Parts: sequence; structure tokens; C-alpha cells
Amino acid sequence: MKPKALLLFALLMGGFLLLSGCLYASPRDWSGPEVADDTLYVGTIGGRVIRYVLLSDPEPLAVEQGHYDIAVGGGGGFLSCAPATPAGTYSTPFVADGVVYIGAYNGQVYAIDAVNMTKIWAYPAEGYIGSIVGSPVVADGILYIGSSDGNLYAIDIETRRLAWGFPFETGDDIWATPLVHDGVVYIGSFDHRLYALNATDGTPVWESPFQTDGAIAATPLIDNDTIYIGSLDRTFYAVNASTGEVKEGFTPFQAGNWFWGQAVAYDDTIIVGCLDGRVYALDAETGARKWSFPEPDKGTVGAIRGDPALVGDLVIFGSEDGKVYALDAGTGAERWRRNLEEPPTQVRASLCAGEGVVYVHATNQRIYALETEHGDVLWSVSTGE
Amino acid sequence: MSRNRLIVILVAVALVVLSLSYGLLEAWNLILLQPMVNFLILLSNALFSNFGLAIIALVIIVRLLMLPLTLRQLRSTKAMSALQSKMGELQKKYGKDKQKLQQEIAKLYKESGVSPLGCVGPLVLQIPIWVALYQSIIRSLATTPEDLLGLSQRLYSLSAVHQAVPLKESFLWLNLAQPDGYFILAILVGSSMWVLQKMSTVPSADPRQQSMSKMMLWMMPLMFAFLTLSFPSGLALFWVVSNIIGIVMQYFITGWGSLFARAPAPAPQVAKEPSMETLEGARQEDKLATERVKQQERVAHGKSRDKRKDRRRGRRAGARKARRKP
Repeated sequence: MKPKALLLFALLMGGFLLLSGCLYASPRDWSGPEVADDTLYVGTIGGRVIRYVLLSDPEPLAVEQGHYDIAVGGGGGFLSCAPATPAGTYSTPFVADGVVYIGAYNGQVYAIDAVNMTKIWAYPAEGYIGSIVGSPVVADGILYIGSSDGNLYAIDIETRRLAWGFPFETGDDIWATPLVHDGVVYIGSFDHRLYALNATDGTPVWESPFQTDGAIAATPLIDNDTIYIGSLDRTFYAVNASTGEVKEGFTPFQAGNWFWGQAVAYDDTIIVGCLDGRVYALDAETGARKWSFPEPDKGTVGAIRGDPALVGDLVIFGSEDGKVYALDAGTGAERWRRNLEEPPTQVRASLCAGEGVVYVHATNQRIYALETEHGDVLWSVSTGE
Repeated sequence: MSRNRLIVILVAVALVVLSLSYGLLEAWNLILLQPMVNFLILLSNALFSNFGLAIIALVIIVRLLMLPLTLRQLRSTKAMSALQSKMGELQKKYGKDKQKLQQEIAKLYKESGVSPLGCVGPLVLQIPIWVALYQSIIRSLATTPEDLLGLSQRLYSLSAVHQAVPLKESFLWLNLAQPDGYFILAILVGSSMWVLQKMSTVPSADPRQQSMSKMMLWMMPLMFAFLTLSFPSGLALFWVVSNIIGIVMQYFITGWGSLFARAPAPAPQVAKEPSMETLEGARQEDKLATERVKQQERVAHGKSRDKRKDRRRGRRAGARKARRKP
């Protein structure tokens, strides 16, 4: 083949790839940090689960002491720009009895020793279930986790096998984190339904699942026998936890975009962040808006995806604009804001509250410890490899 | 100033103003990508939440909207194709004198009312539409959590759009977000692209151009078939549907084109051709040129070389001559 023809071919190929699917945004997984016994655990973009020991003397500091590398999953192909199954983590670790549990995007759930960071077991032991985006929850010796294959898995952590009656199959992907309360597991699915299942055998508790007009990616909140949950239909609902019907007297609240994060309860107020760039505080009984941040006539901040942290009377949110906002939970007044935009970043992971500290994992692959009084950065460490 | 030119200028000014106001990428999103993404999602919602059907419908709609441009492009290509025989003659005649050759070619274009760039203009105008269509499929599929998060910021404030997302990925045997593991789509993409390319190839007497056309005829289908193996099958579906519609349109405008024709024989080198200085040489040259013109006309009109037909034609011509000269 002549050099000119080769050049033309190379240009065609390059131009095609440039204009095509390779314009994908690069993956920016959003595993939130989890703190237990002065130790912080977090998953990273590269599929590493890192253990940091938190020191306070002589000054606040985080020191990495071990990590576990999750294997890359199957799929993908040569020249593939389409996402396959990387080892990244969207799941926030759950720590219980000296074991770190985490779900990986490759489709495996891992139990890792919390001290020496070695794998104890993985489910499934061989092969993969669908990609995992939500986080695991452990209650009464059972680990609950949703998967993109549409199933809710319940794994007995002693036998490492599926619990009786599980997996529970929904009609579409599960990206939400389950909520376990009083022997009932609540889980939202992309099939627009919120399910309430008996935690021991997976049988439905409600006569029929609660139906919304959009997919559900958020984790439910339970408060006063009421389930609060937002949906991708831009509506925030309150559901009677016993019957699975809309809470009497509560008018579903309509926002400008999707609800993806979990809400928090403060007195008789439900506070939730929205992808329309606002935080809404709603009356827990009626659903009426008490305040919003920013107020309707004052524009918006970046989209709010992750779960907030409630520290005393402060509710703290991370945003797509790379800032962390601390608001008075009663009035919505801004107490402080911290810009993490060096280097430019977004905050998509759920926040983790400690004693006078909030931990933030930003997409620039750094963890920040912000003191909750003024939002000053106590320390930050890179999770990059 | 003609109305068409005024429209083109107004559109260009609007594009420049938007690009300056929002930035090039944002203007691209605002004008092309966002409307296509939202329309695609609405289509999916209307077509029984079937994203595969939505892709097919959108490709058909976009093809119909761009029909005037496509027709113009195909007609220009056809006209260029018809001129190839005369071009061959000119090349033979003025092959040594490049300047004269250029002048004569320009004259030929002028006399025939054909612009050499006539088929390029409409093609260039269509490229952004196709790129946006292609991107809109990827964006709408939103296979990863980041993609879905990004999509949330691109949706119009319509309940039907928000309620339809995330889109269902299954269609026939395919998961539209994953490559087709059965190689069926790769074969369909490669073969349909080969047929379309073969139909639309303009026959050329230039050996270099011939070699280039031959290379493209095989390279492009192979490349796309190869990419199909690793790209989401939603995109491959888009390529297959687009190729099939292209084949149908091409058939109605130019017939089967070069599909059943073999490549024309390369023109003999000018230096080796018989000299015009001798009578015998001139006769031989005329014979060669007539043969070449006939051959290229056959190729340009998509006729295969049917030897029996040729023989029949020859016999009839012979009979006519015999009648004239008893």
C-alpha cells in the first residue's frame, strides 16, 4: 500500500475515533469514605480499597496502612471506547466486626480483613453478577446488595451463600443501596418500583410495590414509620412503611431534576439534595417546602448526587461544582462553603461524618477532612496510584 | 443575493454568535446534540420503550430530512461519473501538457454544468448531523453511572423524557449497550457498507484513483466491522440501518451503479500510446479511445458486461454495414 493511502487510512481511523464514542467522559467512580475505629476506608477509581489510619497528634493526619486491589472484570474489547466492566468502585464500604464489605463495578462483592486488607471471600467466588453501583448493608449476619442484573442479593456472611428466598428479582437494574429496618429490607429499582421485603426470606411485605413514574436510584430514609424517597421522575415521595401507600397528607414534591441521594431527617424536616442544583427542606408531614438552598430566585449550585452528612444542626452537601456547602438544618442559611476545585473536581460521593469532621472523596482522587465549624481543610490525601 | 445564499449566511452568523456566546462545545450541544438526545428518548418512549426501534426511526427521519442534500450529492456524483469517459479522452490527449489538461477539464466542467465540488458540499454539510446522531445514541444509552449523571443535565424539562430514562437496552438478541457477541452485526455492518461503497464508487480511468477506490472499498467495511466487535451494538445498529437506507436511495437514483461491474482497465500510459503523427497510429488511438469510452459508459450506467449482448450488437451492426455496402 502506498504511503499516501496509508496516511489517508490513518487519518480516517483517527478522525472517526475522535468524533465517535471516545468522546465519553472518563470514569469517575464515587465511592464514599467510611470511618470505623479511627480508621477510614474508601474505594478508588482504579479499583483499590484503601485503609487510612486517622491520627490526631501532633496534628490531624491520615496515613495509608494497606490496601486491597480488586481484579479487573470481564468484557471490553480491543479499541473499545464503550465502557465494559472495570474494577472501579461506586460502592461505599460497610465495616462490621473487623471486616470491610464493598461491591465492585466488575460485579463481585468482597469481604476484606479490616486490618491487614486481605480478601476473606468474594461473592460470587467465581464469575460475576451484574455491575454493582450501590453499597452493601449488613444486618443480622446477612449482607444485602443490589446489582445491575436486577437482583437484590442477600448473602449469609457465615456460610458465604445466598440466604433463603434470595436473590429477589426486580424488573430492571438496581443501583440503589438497600435500607434494612426492623426485619424489612427496602430497595428501589430502575423498574420504577420501591420494594419492601422480609429480610429473612425475601417475601414481599406490601401487597404491591410502591410505584413511581421514574427509575429509583436513591436509598430510602425511614423516619416515624414513613419511607422518604426521591425518584428520577423529579418527584420526592413519602410512603407509609406499613402499607406501601402514599403517606396520607403528604403531597409529593416536584423538583427540577432527579433525586439520586438519600434524604436526612432533622426534627420534623426532611432535607434532600437534587440534581437540579438545590437542597430542599420539606415538611415531614405535608411535603410543603420549608426552605431551599439556594432560594428559587438565587440561581443554583452544581448538581447534588451524593448523600449529605448531618452533624449537629448542620447539614453538609457536596456538589458537582466542586464545592462543599454547610447549611443550617433549621433555616437553610449558609454557614460556610469550601471550594475543592484545585485541581478542578466534582463531589459525587456520599459524605461521611466524624466527630467535628466531615470526610469528602472528590473526583480529583483526593480525600479531604473538613472541620465542621468553619469548613477548614484539616488534611487531604491522594487516593491515586 | 439569492435566497439560498442569504439563508446560508444567516445560519453561519447564528452559529458564530452561538459559538462565541456559549463556547464551541456548548453550542454544539445546544444546537445539535441536546435536541437529538431528547428526541431519541421521546421516540423510544413512543415506540413501546424500545430503544432499538427508536434508533431505526431516528435514522430514517434524519435521512428523510437530509434527502435534498443527499439527492444533490448523488446527482453530482452521477454527473461526475458520466463525465469520466470524456475525462479519459482529455487525459489521453493532453496527458503531457498538464496546464492544457487543466484548462480543458475546467472547460468540460463548464460546458457540462457540473461542479467538481458539487458532491462534496452536501456531504460536508451532512457530516455534523451524522456525528451528532452518532453521539446522541452513545449519550442516550448512558451505560455508566457517570454517563447517566451527565445525561440528567442534558434533558429538557419534559416529564415524558425524564420518566423514560434510563432506556431499556435490549433489542432482539442484542444488549444495545454491549457489543454483539454473535458477530452477526459485524457481518451486517461490513457487508452493507461494502455494497453501498461499491454502488457509489465513481469509475475512474486514473490508475492511482482506482487503487485508492479499491483500498477504500475494502478498508472501510473491514474497519467498521472490526469496530462493531467492540462498540455498543446500538451504534452498530445505527450503521446497518443507515447503510441499508443509503443502498435503497442509491438504487433509486443511480441504479446498481458499479455494484456488478468490474473495475475499468487502467488507461494506457501516454508515452506508450501510438503516436498521432502517423495515420496508422491515429487510427489505432481512435479505436482504443472508442473502446475505453464504451467500457466506461457501461460502468457508469451500472451495466455489467454481457458478452452475449455485445455479440448480438456486433452482429446487428455488421448486418447494417453489409446492407449499406452490398
